Amino acid sequence: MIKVWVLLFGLAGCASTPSPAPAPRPDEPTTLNRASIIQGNLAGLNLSLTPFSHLGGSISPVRAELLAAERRYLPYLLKTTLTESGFWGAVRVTPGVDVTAELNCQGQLLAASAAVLELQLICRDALGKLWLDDRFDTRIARDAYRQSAVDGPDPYQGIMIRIANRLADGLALLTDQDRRRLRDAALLRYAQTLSPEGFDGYLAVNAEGRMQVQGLPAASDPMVARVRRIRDSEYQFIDAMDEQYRLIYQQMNMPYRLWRQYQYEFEDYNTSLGDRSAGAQRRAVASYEVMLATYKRYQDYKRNEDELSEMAQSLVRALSPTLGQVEGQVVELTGNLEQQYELWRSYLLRLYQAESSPRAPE
Amino acid sequence: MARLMSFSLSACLLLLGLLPSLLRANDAPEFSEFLGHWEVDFAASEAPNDKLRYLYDVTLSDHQRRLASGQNRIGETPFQAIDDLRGLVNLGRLGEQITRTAVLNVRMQGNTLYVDRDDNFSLRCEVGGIAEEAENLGYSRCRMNDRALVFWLGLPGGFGIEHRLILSERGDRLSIATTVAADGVSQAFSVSRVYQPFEPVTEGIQCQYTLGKGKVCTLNGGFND
Repeated sequence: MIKVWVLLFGLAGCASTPSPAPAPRPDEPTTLNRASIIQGNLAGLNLSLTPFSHLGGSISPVRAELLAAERRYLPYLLKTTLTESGFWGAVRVTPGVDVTAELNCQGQLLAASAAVLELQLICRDALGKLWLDDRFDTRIARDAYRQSAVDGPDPYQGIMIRIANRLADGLALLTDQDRRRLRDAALLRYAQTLSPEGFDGYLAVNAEGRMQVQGLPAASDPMVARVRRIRDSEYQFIDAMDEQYRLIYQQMNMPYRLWRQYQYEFEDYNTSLGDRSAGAQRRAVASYEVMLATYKRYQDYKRNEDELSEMAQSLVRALSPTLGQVEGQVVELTGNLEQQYELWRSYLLRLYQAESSPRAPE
Repeated sequence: MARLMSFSLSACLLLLGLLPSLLRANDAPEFSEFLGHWEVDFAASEAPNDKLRYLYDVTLSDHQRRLASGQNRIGETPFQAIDDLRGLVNLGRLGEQITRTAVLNVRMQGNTLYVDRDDNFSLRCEVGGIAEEAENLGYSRCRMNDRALVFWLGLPGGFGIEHRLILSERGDRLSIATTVAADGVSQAFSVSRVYQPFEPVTEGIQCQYTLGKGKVCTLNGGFND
């Protein structure tokens, strides 16, 4: 007869080695700051987020697979919150750092489980100024998953609202001139990636180590017009990539919530079982209904895990090819999201260089 | 000399006799041999209800015999025997629930072997990796045991499930013996299902993502839009 053991529970949920910091307390209810009509009418700065990185460490292969999906899901959750706040122009999730954006944010996932989320977020603007380098953490309330099961906000939403409010506070400190300067800096930085020599000298680092706009090319400069045109193509592609992240987010939304909910419920269940005497456990197991319910619950949990795992595997596999059209030429991009993004960027660079070359491209 | 030759001959014959079993000992199937699509062979599979009825009868007569002859276990009462029978029936009912899988897809992804089941979650096994995994909901383990690939799962509440996958010598049949056991029930319930390979039909749908149009899919890979 098989000997049945029930071992330690609550280990698999952590994405990393536990932090020595005290466990976070449940979030205070947080309200998202929203832009007023006047603020909303200001031309917003574009903000881009990249998939979160995560700490390495000893985690099971299954957990590692799920992390691959989580690190794409969470920035999109932040994106939806930032968009909802109304303070920003285009908020996008991009496979790599977006050189067209006025503000770039990169996150690191320190811990993610049904009960706890901890992440470090770093945001820098186009002039290299650090807006944020902070750790955010939250403990999810016991009933948060039940409340959110149908159509409510994601239980991780609270942490995203806190981040969005912090960024809105930073934005409120900028004058109109600061915003204009950031937009110019973003364009110049993008131009420099296409032609370092052509746009050399417009941006310089000052004595405090900050980047400054030294001057601007003439508005009628054909090189600037070309950069803007190429940047429009880049925007088009980034939007297509963002759409792919939206699909991942939508597909993950329900299985990810349920998976976390089951994880939470089982932790509770295990704790309550641990409190019972062996005799009580034996009586419980004699009941077919109890055994079936336990198995069904585990089955649901694993099925959601399978769905997330399948999604994560598909993220690293090649996507359907993407067809783009630039300047009348059709480009076919293959590979996964990151590879397609790199291909597209190298294609735009070649296109710019070919146009700039005195000889007609072959 | 004749005795020496006779001894050598006997030793050779003995070695020849042992050869198949020696070969078999090193002939355990690789993970890769389990790969593929499998569908249930109903004719070769056990029916859980029949198996349960048989086990019930055997266990009942065993209890009756022991009680009648005074050979009951220390402290065992007729009520406990009834509880035990009830427990066995419960294991059988659960066994019937979890062995309804009709189609399997056994595949490798990286170092992980997946047994995808059409009606249930996938069983996973790390090749050369972590054989045992403590989950926050239970405890799962897999390993290669002689010719069998064994998955074991312990669940809260004190019951466990084992799936033992055994490949036939010719590799054309896959047997899955599922055993359900629980604390407080004197014997486990086992049922065996047999699967045969099949080739799935491919759908032939091919998709492209177009920046202007979004996702465009066609049948048989044509893009003449």
